[in-house]
Amino acid sequence: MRIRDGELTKQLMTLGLDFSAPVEMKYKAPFGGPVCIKNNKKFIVIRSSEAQEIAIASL
Amino acid sequence: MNHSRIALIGNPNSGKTSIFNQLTGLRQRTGNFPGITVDKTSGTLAKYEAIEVVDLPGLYDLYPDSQDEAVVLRELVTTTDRYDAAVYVADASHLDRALLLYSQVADLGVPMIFVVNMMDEAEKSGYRFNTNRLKSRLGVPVIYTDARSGEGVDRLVSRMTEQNYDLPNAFFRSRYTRENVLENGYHIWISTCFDRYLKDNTAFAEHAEVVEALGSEGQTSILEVPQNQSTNEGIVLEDLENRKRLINIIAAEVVQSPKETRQNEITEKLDKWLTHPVFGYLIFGGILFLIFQAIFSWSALPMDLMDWTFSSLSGIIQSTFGNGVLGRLVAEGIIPGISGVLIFIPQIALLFLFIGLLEASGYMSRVVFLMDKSMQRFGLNGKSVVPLMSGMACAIPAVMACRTIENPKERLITILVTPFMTCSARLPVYAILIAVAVPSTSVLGMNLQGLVLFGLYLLGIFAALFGAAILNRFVKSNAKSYLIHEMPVYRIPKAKDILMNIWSKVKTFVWEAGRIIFVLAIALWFLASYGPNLNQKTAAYETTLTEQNIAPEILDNQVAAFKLENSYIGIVGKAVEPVFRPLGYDWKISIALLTSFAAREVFVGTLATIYSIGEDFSEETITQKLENETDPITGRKRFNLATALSLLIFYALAMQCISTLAIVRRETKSWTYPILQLLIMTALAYFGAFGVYWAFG
Repeated sequence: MRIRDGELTKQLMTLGLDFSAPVEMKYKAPFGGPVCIKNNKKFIVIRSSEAQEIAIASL
Repeated sequence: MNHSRIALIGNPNSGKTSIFNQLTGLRQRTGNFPGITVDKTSGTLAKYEAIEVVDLPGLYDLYPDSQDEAVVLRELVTTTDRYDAAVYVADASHLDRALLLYSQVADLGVPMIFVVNMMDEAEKSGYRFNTNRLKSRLGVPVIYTDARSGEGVDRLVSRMTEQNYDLPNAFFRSRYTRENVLENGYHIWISTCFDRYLKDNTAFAEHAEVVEALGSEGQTSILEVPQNQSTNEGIVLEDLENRKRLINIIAAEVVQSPKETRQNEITEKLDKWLTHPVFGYLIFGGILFLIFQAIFSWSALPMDLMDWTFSSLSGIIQSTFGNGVLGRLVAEGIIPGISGVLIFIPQIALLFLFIGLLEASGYMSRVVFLMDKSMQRFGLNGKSVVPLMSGMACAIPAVMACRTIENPKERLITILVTPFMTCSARLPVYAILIAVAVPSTSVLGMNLQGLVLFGLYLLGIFAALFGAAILNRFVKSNAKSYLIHEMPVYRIPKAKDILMNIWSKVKTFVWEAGRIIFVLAIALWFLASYGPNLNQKTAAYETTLTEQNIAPEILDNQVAAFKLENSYIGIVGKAVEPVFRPLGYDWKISIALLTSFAAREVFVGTLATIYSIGEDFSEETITQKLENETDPITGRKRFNLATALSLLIFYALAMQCISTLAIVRRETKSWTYPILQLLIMTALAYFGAFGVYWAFG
């Protein structure tokens, strides 16, 4: 998994996103609102546009 | 024992505040960090008053993205009152994340005690810790606690009182010491922060203090580093990646994690409903509705009881001391004024109870998730929901809570519209006016007074959103807007923490409003009891009425009314009355309105004082006094529906809080915004009240 935006990477990293663990999509807010992802037992909310910045390199 | 100053540091939701409450109990005081306005709570240990503990804002790392994070960096690096040590509080279930911030603080060379908190929860979920390995890796004492039950806190206190604090092992000490930061200019770190500060001088103006603390050499060092964001971002990411790599190795050595935790399973089950695209919003609306119904219904009995008690007390004092100046001052001035503040304690406590429950349970993060998209349409951020909801309690901490919003435009708009939210100081005004003008009947099984109160809260929300939409067109910013936010697992709020928060907030409310109304009540009583040649004028008027053979009880009332109108306060009131007459207010209401520009909660106290002066003693409550007040010319009730609605609209929209204006000034570093806020909100309130009065009058 790679993340293109530096600021986003920094924020996700400090929130505890583990780049070696798979990311699971949990919930989507309606009308194109944010999404909640789960990674390494942590729930993190990011906007859909930001979620698109997360590129899955390999599974 | 020597005086020691100990910082409490940790990630948000690590149970840091629970630990703080366990350590300090009621020996807490709230203040601001010097020079800035972020809430700082400090306290002393029980039996060890020499040990001062300061609860710093929760954060994830020391590269500040928001102002509250910048505060912690500044406190640790540049404070003149240095900390002797830090107690680092880590959530046992997220030790890997906690170690990132820990590693940065450790590299600053701050002596530490490492607390692994919420052990009970972690052990039940299957986490196992290798304590010896953790101790040897960190180089500091490791203490396991469960702040909910208080387990382990005595061991922490014992370690804190030894006053022999261990310096932690370095993670990357060669690059990262406080001495480097202060004396040589730790150019990588500070230049990164400096670069961020430079992006928005208005919002991050305290960067100057950080830079100043570096001295001339440090500043030169900063200036030598190219102010290139991408370079700095690369350095930050490299540093964080290095740290995470090392931390992952340590975490693998010291903790065995389960595949899944019980809290996560419960959280996911609840979130299926609470973040549902339809039910999520319905539940949120339902919760708000229930809160405002409960605030009105549950508080009615204790409020009536307190109101009756104060009225009786006035009566006892007046009958004991007679018509002497002191007896009248206390019975007609001070007691009615103070009671106008104190009787609202049940409602304020209930409001803070509900806000506290929403925050402590983790539900507020779900509201951020649900509302982000809608908020963006108004130029706000999902994170704006937290200050806006907090604004329902008090605008001052709510404006300060805007520091967590990274985008300067969204932050500024949130600051400017937060005072529209119905704060607890408006509640007394709403409560008394609704009680006077709206019948206490049921509509579709719901209390009508509660419904009107709910409508006023909705009005505050709409005013805030409408204001934000307009500001969104005028405020410009190139900064990127984003939302990255943790959704913590649901937790049952700890009763002690909630009760201590209520106690602290009620105490602040009573002290802030109480001291104003105390002085005001004395001043109002004197101004209303004396006037130019008042005794001669009153005697002449009484003689005229006596000659007309008017009945004694009518004569007494007319003389009292004449005396009040010709007192100093009557003269001032009459002078300002023409300004407020189009809104349906007489001179007495106008006086109450003017005094409440300092703090809106003194409105009721002022009215209670004015309506008590000169009256024969009766056990009328404040509500009854307002209900029985009539217009001497028309004989109609003074607080009829049109006047009450007009006042409600005025108070819903007006900016009547000097403290909020001061906080807005400090948070925006400009007088322009609070002055504009005052003028625009007052104009809106005036014309809104005018429209409502004429529509219903």
